[in-house]
Amino acid sequence: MLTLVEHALAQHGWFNIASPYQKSVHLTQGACVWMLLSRDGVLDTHVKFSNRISLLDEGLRCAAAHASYPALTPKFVGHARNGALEILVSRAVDFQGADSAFLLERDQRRGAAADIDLYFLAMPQAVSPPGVAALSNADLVPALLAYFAAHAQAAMAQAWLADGLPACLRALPAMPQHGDLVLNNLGRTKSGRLVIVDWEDFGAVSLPGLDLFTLELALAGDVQKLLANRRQPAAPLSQLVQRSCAAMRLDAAQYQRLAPFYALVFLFLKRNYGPAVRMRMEALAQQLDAHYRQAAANA
Amino acid sequence: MTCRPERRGSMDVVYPYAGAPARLQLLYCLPTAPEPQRLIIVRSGVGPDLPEEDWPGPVRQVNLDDLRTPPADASLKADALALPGVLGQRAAMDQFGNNVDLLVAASRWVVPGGLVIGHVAQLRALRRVMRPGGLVALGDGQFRRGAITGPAQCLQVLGAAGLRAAQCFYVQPSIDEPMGLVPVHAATARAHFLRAVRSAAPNQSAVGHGVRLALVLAGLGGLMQEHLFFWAEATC
Repeated sequence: MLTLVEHALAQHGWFNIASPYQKSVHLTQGACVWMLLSRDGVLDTHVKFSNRISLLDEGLRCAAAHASYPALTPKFVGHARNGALEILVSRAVDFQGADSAFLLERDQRRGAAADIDLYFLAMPQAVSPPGVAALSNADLVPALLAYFAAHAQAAMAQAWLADGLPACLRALPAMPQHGDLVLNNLGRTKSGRLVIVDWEDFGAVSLPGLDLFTLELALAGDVQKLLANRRQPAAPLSQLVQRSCAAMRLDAAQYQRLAPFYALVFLFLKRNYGPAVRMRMEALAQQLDAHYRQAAANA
Repeated sequence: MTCRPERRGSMDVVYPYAGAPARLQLLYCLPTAPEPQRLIIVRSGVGPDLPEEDWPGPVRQVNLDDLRTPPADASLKADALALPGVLGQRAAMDQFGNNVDLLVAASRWVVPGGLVIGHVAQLRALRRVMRPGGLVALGDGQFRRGAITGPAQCLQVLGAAGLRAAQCFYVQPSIDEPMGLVPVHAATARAHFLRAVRSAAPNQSAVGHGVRLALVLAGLGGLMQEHLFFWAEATC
């Protein structure tokens, strides 16, 4: 399989296999493999490949993401198919995992808060990938109702998806979302900049606030900490949320009210992930549901 | 290897590489064997077994003993031969004396241009050395012909057996739960392990992180990996 991938890279002129290079291969628990090509320890090219699923849509999503956020994403190079084998190629970015201290630090020499601001500032102008499956904000509620009808969370989902939510969603502008903006997909480059990776769900939904919610949750650590942080407007994370809402021209109070809905959408997007991930997401949705029910009862 | 993610119920899917055995099988499918990709799997009775189904071409299993006799005719040869955990094993050494002779015998079962693929214990891996008998095994390996103490010896042994275009990788994190192959090229391995250790820092104790970082900075990150994965082409 590797030889076929390497020959495809050479054939398209995406990577010169005639001069010495090294490859590291990374397996996943999904249906793909990815490979990093280096020369003398310097990363050059990132290749994702599979002979089990199509990567065409993901290629379109990666290309659209790079067009929308060129400073924050790896440069997309191309997609190729050879029989059942499909490959996606982008320029490799050398980065290490980002942590909350780095992401919340506003000093540009030490942190990435300015890059996160840039991401949410550019989001209203981001362009959805053309020709790939996407759910409009208006279609979200029926899609979620259909999905959750067969799940243990059906009652909770129905409660959150009822009332005035559809009208509220229709009023929101469409902004293509990364769909999985969590710490695992954020990196710190050697130059100290933020890089956002894993764009395979980009544009699957265009619900403004979803990426901010998953980021807020990832930076807070868990639901209880997220809720506690929201009671401290001067905290760095609350500041980031406020700046991001302003950048997206999204009402901050509405963003907070939509938290359980964002959790349901995130759970829906994760429907094809492994059981451990889905269990974590279900617990998160249940915790948010309990909190908001309690708050409503107290009110 | 063309099946799609398996549907479970009406909406959720199970992906093909969720289980460690499937990922081990995938490692053995990575090097591209010539068509029609007939595969021989050599059973040694130790280490994780490779599944018998879902290979790109026809597959058959043979015992280690069977390699002692060359195939009766060319039609019995395969396009690839898998040696999962066979090299360096006591049973194999008892029969063949050393890894070079074992590989010479194995390559007779492969068509010219076909592949010999396998994984093998890295004797000098720190965890292995620290186990009871680990240091003795390493010391013994230093003096035994064809012993594979690290990647350089692995490549050397493959070459000595007449195999060409040999490639060798560290298996990360372990052959029982494989998630990746790291090149043994010094600068690339160092850069890879540095990224891995720094990214994993939040999940490590300060001491554990410090030790790992020091090892990696010294260019010894490969010693943290217990297995090597390799493939090479048979010449005749």
